[in-house]
Amino acid sequence: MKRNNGFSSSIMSSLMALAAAAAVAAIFVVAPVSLPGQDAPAPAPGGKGGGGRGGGKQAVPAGPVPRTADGKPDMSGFWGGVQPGGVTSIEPVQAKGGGRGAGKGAPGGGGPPGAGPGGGPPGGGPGGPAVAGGPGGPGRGAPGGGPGGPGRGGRANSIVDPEDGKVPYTPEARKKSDDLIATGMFHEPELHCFMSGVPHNMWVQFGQQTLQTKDYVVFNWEFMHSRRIIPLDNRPHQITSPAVKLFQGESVGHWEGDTLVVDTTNQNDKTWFDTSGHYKPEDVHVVERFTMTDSNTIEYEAEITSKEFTQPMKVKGRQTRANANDPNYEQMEFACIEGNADLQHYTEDKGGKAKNVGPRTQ
Amino acid sequence: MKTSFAGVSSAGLVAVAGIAAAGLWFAPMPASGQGPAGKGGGKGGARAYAAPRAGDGKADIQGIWEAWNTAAFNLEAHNAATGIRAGKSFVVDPADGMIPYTPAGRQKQQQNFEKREQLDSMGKCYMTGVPRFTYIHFPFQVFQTPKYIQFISEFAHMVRTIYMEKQTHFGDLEFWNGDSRGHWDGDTLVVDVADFNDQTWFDASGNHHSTALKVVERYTRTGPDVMQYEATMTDPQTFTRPWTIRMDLHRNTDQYPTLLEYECHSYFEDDAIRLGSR
Repeated sequence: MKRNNGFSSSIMSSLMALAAAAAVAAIFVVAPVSLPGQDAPAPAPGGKGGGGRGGGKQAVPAGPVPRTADGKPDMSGFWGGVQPGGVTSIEPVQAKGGGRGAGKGAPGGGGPPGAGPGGGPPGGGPGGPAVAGGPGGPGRGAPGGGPGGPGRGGRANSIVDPEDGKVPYTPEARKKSDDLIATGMFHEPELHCFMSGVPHNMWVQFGQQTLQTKDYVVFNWEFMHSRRIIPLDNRPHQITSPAVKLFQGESVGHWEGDTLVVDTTNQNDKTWFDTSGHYKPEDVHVVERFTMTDSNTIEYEAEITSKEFTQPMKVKGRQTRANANDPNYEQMEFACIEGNADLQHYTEDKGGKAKNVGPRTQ
Repeated sequence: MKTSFAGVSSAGLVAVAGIAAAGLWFAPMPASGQGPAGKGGGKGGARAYAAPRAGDGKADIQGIWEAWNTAAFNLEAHNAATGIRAGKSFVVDPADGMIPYTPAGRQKQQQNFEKREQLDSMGKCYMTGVPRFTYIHFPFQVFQTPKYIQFISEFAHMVRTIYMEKQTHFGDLEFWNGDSRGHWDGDTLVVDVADFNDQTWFDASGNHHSTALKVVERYTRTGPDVMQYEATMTDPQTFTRPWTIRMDLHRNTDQYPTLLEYECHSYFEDDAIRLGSR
């Protein structure tokens, strides 16, 4: 991705990271944490990536795929977000120009900086783009410093097609994304307490509770209390006009053998693939495939098509069961809007907007 | 209702437009079904109706449900006002239909009512609290498993998870929508709700509570498309005695019922841009 070089870029990145950290901190104030039976948030970015909630606490060995009464794979329970996903960036982030210590990010909770392999001392390398580390929440290891490839302090690509791991934006779309990354942090959707859209919601932090009946699969995330309702009653899409725009789109699902296939249309243009500015075109058509391979694992695949892409984009990852060792685990209420002191800046001209806002391309 | 159109000032019309834009008070409502309190419930006994069965043999209360009444405006009997339909009381106990406030509690309600446009937290897109969750003019969908039952509201993607196994509350936490623990009393789902904050109201008229609030809800299907809803509120800091509301909820009978989104705050942002306040 093309970015401005040098000092100003670094400053902007820092500002973005600070803004994000502040917002995340603000959110945390209202979220009840540290309860008995609740996992502490996963370690700060920079590590290997905790796999979201529960990823590091897996104590129950995997068994065969559990089944519902009607013989379908039973995905009920708590799950970590899809890994690798893209909480911060859906694209691979390479350290550039003396970037030892890149990716130390600015975790909301103030974790140890640069814990990743190759992470430099705190503050090391002013040229190190903290781009993807910025809004990085707990639960996903931001890449460590150095040009580490997959598996070396970084992660495997979330996007498996195209092979370079990048969103196949048309040149125009890529420019729009670059602009957002450079100056559009004010529009970062989750700072507005919006639901994250599809597929982004599949890799948010804090985990997911899946409820499954014969006719529905329902995903509930603690984060933002976002939800997706996926009917399995063989209905056609009920929203037939492309004019209708929804944060989570309209999903319909069906079983293909043991694979749950979900077709999602009618999303709006207010959400991104991540929190760094890889925007999601409004016309995306998303087809997801969930295949449970054992009691603790769901293989995840999504194919996303858009007129703003040069080719279909394929995302691949894995969800791991969370809290299997805690039968009393419960998801807590996550108040976002209610504690978000920044919201007024989105509807009123309070000065902060003028400083941060770039061209409103979203 | 006697208010004549000529009596509405232009300022009033602007206010109406504002409220309509907020989408909270002018939610479209079916013309029928004013104040069904008592219609289905009689003296509290639900009509004999054999509800369909869920997989575990319990009554199946799944579906998309909505109150078609005026409770969202005011649980008590009330006159019509700007953006508010007149309505009967939904309070079935005490018999006078009034919420049994302490004098200070009533005074606060009246102050809230005077400043309702500014003070109602639902107007800021905040979670509604319980029981208001049930009868705002937005439907909610019920998903049911033996271990827990989930209510998902169309308004601001609120979710209530009602755990059926562990019955104890946290006791030292505060939630916008409280902490819900459920059990079955025959075919009635009984939900015990506690651990509230004091930021939510019972309706748009300033009826309020403290953090001491406890709510016991009863959901009973009384027909293929009707579910009776009853809630008893206890809060010694605000009320002189427990009080109970009752109303019918109606099921979406579309072939493929669909819960969409009301992402409240995003429309405020759209409006801010549209109206040029940025």
